[in-house]
Amino acid sequence: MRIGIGVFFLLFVAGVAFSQVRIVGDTLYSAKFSNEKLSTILNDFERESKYSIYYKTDWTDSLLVSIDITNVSIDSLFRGLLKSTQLDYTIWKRAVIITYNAPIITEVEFFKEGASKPSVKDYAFRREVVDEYDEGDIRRVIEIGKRSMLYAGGNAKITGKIVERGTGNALEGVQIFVSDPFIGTTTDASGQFILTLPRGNHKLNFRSVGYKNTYRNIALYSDGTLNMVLAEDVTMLDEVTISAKADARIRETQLGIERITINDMKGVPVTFGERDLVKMALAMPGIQSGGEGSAGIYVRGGKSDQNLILLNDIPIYNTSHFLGFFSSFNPDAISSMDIYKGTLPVKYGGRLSSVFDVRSTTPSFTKIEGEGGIGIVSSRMSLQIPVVKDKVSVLMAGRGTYSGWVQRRIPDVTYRENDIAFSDYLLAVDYKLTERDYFKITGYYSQDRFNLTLDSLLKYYNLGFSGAWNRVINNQLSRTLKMAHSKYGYNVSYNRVNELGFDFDFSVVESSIGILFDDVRLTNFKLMYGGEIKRYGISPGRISTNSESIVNPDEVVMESGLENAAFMSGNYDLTSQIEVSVGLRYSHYLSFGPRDLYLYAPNQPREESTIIGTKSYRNGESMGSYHGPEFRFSGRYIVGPATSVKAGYGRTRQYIHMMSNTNSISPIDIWKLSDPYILPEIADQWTVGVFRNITRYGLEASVEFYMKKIQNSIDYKNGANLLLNENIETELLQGNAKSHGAEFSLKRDYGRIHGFINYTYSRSFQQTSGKFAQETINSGKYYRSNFDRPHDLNVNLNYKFTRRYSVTLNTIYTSGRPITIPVAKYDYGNAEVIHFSDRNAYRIPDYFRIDVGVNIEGNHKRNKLAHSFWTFSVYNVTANDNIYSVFYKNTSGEMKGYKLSVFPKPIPSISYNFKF
Amino acid sequence: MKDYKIFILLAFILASCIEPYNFPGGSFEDLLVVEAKLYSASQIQEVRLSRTREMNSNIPRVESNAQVWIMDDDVRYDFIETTPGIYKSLSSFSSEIGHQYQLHIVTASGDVYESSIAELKETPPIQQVTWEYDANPAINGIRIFVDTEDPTGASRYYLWEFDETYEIRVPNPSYYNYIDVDEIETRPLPLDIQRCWEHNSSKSIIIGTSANLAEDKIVKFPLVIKRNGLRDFRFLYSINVKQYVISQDTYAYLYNLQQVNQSSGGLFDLVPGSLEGNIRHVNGTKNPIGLFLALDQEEERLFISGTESRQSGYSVPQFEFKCDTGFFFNTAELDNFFAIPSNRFGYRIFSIDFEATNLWIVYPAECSDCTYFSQNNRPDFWPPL
Repeated sequence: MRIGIGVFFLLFVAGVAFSQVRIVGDTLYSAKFSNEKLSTILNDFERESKYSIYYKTDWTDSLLVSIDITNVSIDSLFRGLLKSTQLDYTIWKRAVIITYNAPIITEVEFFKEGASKPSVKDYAFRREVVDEYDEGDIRRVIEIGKRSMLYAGGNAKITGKIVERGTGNALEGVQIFVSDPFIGTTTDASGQFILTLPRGNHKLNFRSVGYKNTYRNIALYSDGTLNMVLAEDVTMLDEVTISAKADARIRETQLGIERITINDMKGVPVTFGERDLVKMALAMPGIQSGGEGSAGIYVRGGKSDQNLILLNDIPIYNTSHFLGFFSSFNPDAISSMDIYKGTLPVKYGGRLSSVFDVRSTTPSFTKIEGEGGIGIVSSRMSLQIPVVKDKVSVLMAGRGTYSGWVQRRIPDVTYRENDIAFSDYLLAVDYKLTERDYFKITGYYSQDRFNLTLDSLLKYYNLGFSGAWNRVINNQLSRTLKMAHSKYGYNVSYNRVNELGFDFDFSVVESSIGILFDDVRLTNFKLMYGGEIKRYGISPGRISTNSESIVNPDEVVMESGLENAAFMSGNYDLTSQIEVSVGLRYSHYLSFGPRDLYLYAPNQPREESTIIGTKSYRNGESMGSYHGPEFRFSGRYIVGPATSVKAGYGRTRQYIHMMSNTNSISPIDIWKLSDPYILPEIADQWTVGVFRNITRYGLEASVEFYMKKIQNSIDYKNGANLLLNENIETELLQGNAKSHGAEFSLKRDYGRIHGFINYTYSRSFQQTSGKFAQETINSGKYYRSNFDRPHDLNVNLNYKFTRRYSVTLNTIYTSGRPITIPVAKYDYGNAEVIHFSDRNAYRIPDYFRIDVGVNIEGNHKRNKLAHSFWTFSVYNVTANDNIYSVFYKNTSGEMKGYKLSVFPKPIPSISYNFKF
Repeated sequence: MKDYKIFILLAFILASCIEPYNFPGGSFEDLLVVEAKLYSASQIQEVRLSRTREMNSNIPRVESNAQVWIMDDDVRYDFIETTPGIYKSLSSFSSEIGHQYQLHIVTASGDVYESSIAELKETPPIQQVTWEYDANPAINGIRIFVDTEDPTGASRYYLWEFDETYEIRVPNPSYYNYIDVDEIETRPLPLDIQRCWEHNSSKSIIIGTSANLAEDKIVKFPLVIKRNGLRDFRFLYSINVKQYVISQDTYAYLYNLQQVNQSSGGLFDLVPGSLEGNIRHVNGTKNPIGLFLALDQEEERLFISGTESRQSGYSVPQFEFKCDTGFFFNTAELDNFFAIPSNRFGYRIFSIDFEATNLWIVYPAECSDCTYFSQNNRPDFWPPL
């Protein structure tokens, strides 16, 4: 039914004296009638009040009304009078207009007075009621669509783009929602969103971390556009902002997402006072480290090479400085890190377990800003420079160590004698070509160098570039073109004796191009589709020597592979409670020459002795391919405004593998591509989770359960030699891996006391059962993987004394890492030999550590030149002697056990940070 | 080339955080240990059976009273326990290329073990065995090298063993043998107690590979270092190097054995582990440690004379016993002296001092009779004087 046309205005005035309407103080009314004619009452009211009443006596004469109310508003009075009739009323200025069975659209301007909301949302409105808010602008109503298109009972679609005030940057991940009924969505990478709502009036909420919570009253008539500008929350230290994340957790369709912003990291003291994105990630449930000072990140029972770590789309192969004690991301240059550990969005692929999407800070387009810090290990600085105002802006960031100074002061570590240095640099250029075209170019370089011994030097580096061009084709379709190039390599040089001098080099190169469309043309269905091509090149090892050296130069030939993928996913709102996301990624991998591939005798263990020949492949010639679909599904059901239940399933395929059979992930581990011998690893993961906000205490709680199965999981023969091995396939085994776990998280983001408690119970197993004894580990039974640590508890508590002073307490408890230990000894060929247990049959003792930190902010005067804060922290306050590894050594004919601990003593540190 | 990784990894150790530690809760695994090598040389073959012992124990445990036999296709060779844990074949036999061998063990407790089929891999001859003196403190002695080559490239993995033999001479050889009172016999010439021969066998696992070389060639592979100051080189020294080609599996197993004792536990050390041997526990799950190998043998002998070693710079020690003074006895005194059994055992008559006093000259046995501490069976291969 269309309204607005069949509205009757009748002007009819009757004046009958009536004493039963009482008016108190001009605004409160009392009335007492019993079975009185309505027209009589209205006449009475009109005489007593300053209001004029407009109505048709035909409607009122036959109506008898009973009412008994005291001291109510005019609105309540009329609602009471007319509640049992078919009449509607509208109060407008000093007039009361009564209509028959049809509401009136007045000016779309809210009255200050009022008490109730329209009871039926999809019924057209004639009157608005506004809650009292502080913001001055909310009483404005934005009309969306054509008023003439308005009808009751239908839905309409709002599309739009959200940008940051000042910079005009598109904002990703902004939550847009109405709370009654509960419907919401988030913006994509280009700031676009689409929201389908019942037609009518809504209060639309816009929330995003670091931005002011914003409300808009809208009148939704039909499909239309709403673009928004969100202001940065200038009181960044304030509490309110972050609660948006709480809502996001409930509404997001996907499970297993951890979102870390650089602000989250303030409260977590880490080694040597360096704020560290990766260390923060390791505190999240389901994410574990390989041990103190280990670069490995293990997500839900996946190996450390199964994480796709992207810095502005540049894949980063080594995220650590100094063998894992620091991460290679400068905290000042990074705005956020999204970790997907459940079902991965279809646009990501090529790694099994997780995606770490690290985003650099979008530089300001209006003014120069800077940030920096001085710590005991390194100093850092970042600058945001608008080169052309509102058009081009540049982010420059750098960090470096003070060579040699630190390690001389590190207590109890023999690194003291070594020369250790690292640095990293980031340059990002943002260019707004037009309103619809946005370019971002990023360059990244990180490098480490240190002396292993006095005469050998290890260097490793990440070097990467990326470019992205986002074009908004129209309000409902945007396209992003991406390219990225990344190189990781290391070099070991040894120079003590010229005759034995050598240089060992390894590198892996990944180049990719991709295209991505965000399409919201279909109602209720948000589509994302695209494709990407990645080319891998690995130089597995080269030994080069000087002329005097007797070491043989050696080189293992380069490996090449091409990974292509096409993908599409749709987000569909089944009902306002249920949203599902269904996606498919089809990936194809091609391994190609030039390469000489060894051929092995059939039905024989694959080893050098069974080589029966080689097959040569020309440059670019295909050696074989693998392909397969990867289905991804996730669904969310909102149980109540603060509770949702989610489930997900996803498959992933991986074609590049890191070879590591050392105790820890080391920078000199090599990578290997799938080829006719190394099958791609394939993982399936099932997850369910419950997310609940306990709003009364400001807590976000969640429980997630997962189960993961990996096919062709790579394993190694005992004592396998992986470096410079021409036929590395003879050392590798492939089996099954399985893991499962439960992750519990309780979090409070604001308030005087805030922090999180994350507990994970998880198990992870490997089964390697080949046809031959040497291809079988632990008799082919499932055994604990190297990183199977069932209990993992991270507690982080922050207490804010004042705005300027806060303390943090950080507690970590994890089960010990599985190890293989000697269980017996025996004589063999006149030598005493140790017999080791089954692989990973034992565990080192549990890990426990407490850190404390104090943050002191400078004063909060607005016009201060620079804002600064000091951080004092003590790592491992209780001096817990956490054991990294246990090993046995033959000393004077006797086997003795030894333990290795990395930071057995408290490490105090101090850093100064500033921002302008 | 393969050793570089070890070298690089060792460099990462954080020494000062390392402390002695007793791992709680490691439980002892009681397993059978089998050492069985079947040689292509015709000989009494040998199988050694022992058991693992606890980490803190130094008392060897042997496996006694087991039934041991080897099947050569359908032919059965039985072994009997000659000394505890050492089982020897009843007769000499050799293993041959093309035959398939299987080891069977039934222990006294009823556990049945059998090996997988072992076959000989044809071994190329040793090209040469050479030696070199090196004063470099890391070596400080004589090194012995082996060279070999397989033009077919089929060998690649090598195991070496060696037997050393060296001559010992006593400075004051006994010419008379005191048998009883009034019964002193003249020893026949040449004296058989003056020269003896010591034998040693290689103790450690010596393996090498040409796997990462273009040619299947072993050049100057150091087998053993003989440090300065060994009596081995006082007179003639001889080493017999035995070469066997092994499979990559066997190589891997033995390589792992070598590595196990070198684990240093650094951050980037290889994860240790025990390889599966080729012997199976038929009626249980406790597969034994060790290998059953059938080995095709090639050998090469090298002699180094005392003169050669001294000229190279090697320093030979003084004779280890003090032999510059003897006792002088007349016959009565001699009888009294040898009436004491310990003197009978520990002293020998060197000669008679004819010139002056017709006295018997007596020296401690170690100065006059090498059989006192060694064997005087002259090996067949030993050159005549």
